[in-house]
Amino acid sequence: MESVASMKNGCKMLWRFRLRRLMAVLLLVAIGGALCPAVYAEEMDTPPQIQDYLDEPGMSAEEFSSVTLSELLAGVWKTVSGEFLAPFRLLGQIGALLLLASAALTFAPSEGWRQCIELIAVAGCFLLSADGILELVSQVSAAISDWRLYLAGFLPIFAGVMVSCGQSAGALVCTGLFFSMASLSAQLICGVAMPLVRVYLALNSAAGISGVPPLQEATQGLTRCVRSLLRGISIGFAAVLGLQNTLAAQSDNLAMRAGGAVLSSSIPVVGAAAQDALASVLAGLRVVKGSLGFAAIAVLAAAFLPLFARCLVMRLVLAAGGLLAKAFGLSRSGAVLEGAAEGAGLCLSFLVFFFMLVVLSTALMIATGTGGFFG
Amino acid sequence: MSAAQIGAVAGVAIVTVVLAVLLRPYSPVYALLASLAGTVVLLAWMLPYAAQALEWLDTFSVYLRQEEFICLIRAAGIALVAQTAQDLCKDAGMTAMGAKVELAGRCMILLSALPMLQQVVDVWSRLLQ
Repeated sequence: MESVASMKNGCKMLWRFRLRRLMAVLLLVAIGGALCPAVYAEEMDTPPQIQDYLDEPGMSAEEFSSVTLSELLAGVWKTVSGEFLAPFRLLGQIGALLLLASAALTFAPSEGWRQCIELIAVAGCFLLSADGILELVSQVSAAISDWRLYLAGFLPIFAGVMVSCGQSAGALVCTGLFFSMASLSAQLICGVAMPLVRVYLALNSAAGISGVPPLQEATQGLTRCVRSLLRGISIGFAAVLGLQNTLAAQSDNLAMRAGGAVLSSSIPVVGAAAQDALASVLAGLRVVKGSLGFAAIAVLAAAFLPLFARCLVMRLVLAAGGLLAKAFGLSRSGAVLEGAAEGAGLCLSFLVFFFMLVVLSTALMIATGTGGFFG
Repeated sequence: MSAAQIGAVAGVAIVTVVLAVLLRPYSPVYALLASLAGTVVLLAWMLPYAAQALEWLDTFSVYLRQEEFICLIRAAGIALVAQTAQDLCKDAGMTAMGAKVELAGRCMILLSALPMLQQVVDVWSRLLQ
């Protein structure tokens, strides 16, 4: 009996040993499967758009330090002249067309013939402004898409730095709430708003060429729709900005204070010194965080400013063309040019909105948690 | 253009009108012919001055595409000739003929603007893609 019982115990122990060995093997396989992608991470291709940012920094530190003041000013002038000369050339072309049209109208004083000649003037004004405004809409859409892609590469790095600064909730909000809002805004702008702006431009020119009042009312209604969309996205952004501050700052501050109290009280003798040392380290990391955030803002600003200037100048030029047309007595041509100016203004609004969304949110993330560690 | 030249234009116009009014009770055909002759004389006299204006306007054509410049000048010429013919028909009491001349002029202006309108449609298709 005792031998049978001992045999049974031996079998049970052997079974348990085999089961434990099997569980250990399964655990090792699971860990290996989880680590394999990390092992081969260097061999996996990064998205080409992000890889472009990593491979082409634009200018190295040595190159930048060797640039003289005259070369810098020449480069700035070249950029500015390229941005401003083309729109003013367009204004000259519009002025020449309007002058020709008003001269042609003097040969046809009758109202019926005036409409025929003004039809040609309206078509000419639209064709002159179409290339510039089409290019502007495409550039704004492309810029917003590029900035969204830039954020996709930048935010994980920034979130990592925030975690090292002890702002875990802030990092979560950064990669979750802010990136979601930025992505949603970019998709709404590129997928809904910009096509609506194109439809608006087409409707505006059709209304000017045909002179049909319902088309003009439809054009105004479409402008109101686009402005309402921008207003809605702005309200959403403001709400997210407030949530970001509330969710991230308060919980991180509470966690930091609790951690500091535990650290200083749990470690005898050197607890306070350890707390001070960690505070110094975290202060340095916050400097890194701030520098990284401001570098991101600077990169976006460098891409934003030329496009902003281009949109602004195009809007001013087209508005001036509209005023000139009305001064020459060509009201329909003036309406088409003013509509094109409104389209440029809408592009400008969306561009500024997205830029401010990114800058304000980044500045808020830089500013949160800088009130001092444990204090 | 000096005051004497515009005075000459006014003089020719007034003489033509008086002649047409005098001839109308006796022979409406000759009254119409007198009106037509006065119109042709004034147009022929005005053409060199219009050519000078067109030469000056041509200096601005470098800022535009040639197509737009030609289209505008052609439309103005068609409008001028059609308006003149329409007025002569109305003077002769042929309102229906005058309306057809106006219709023909509008169609010709539209035809000359067709290439530009085709480009407008092409831009619309690019906008709405």
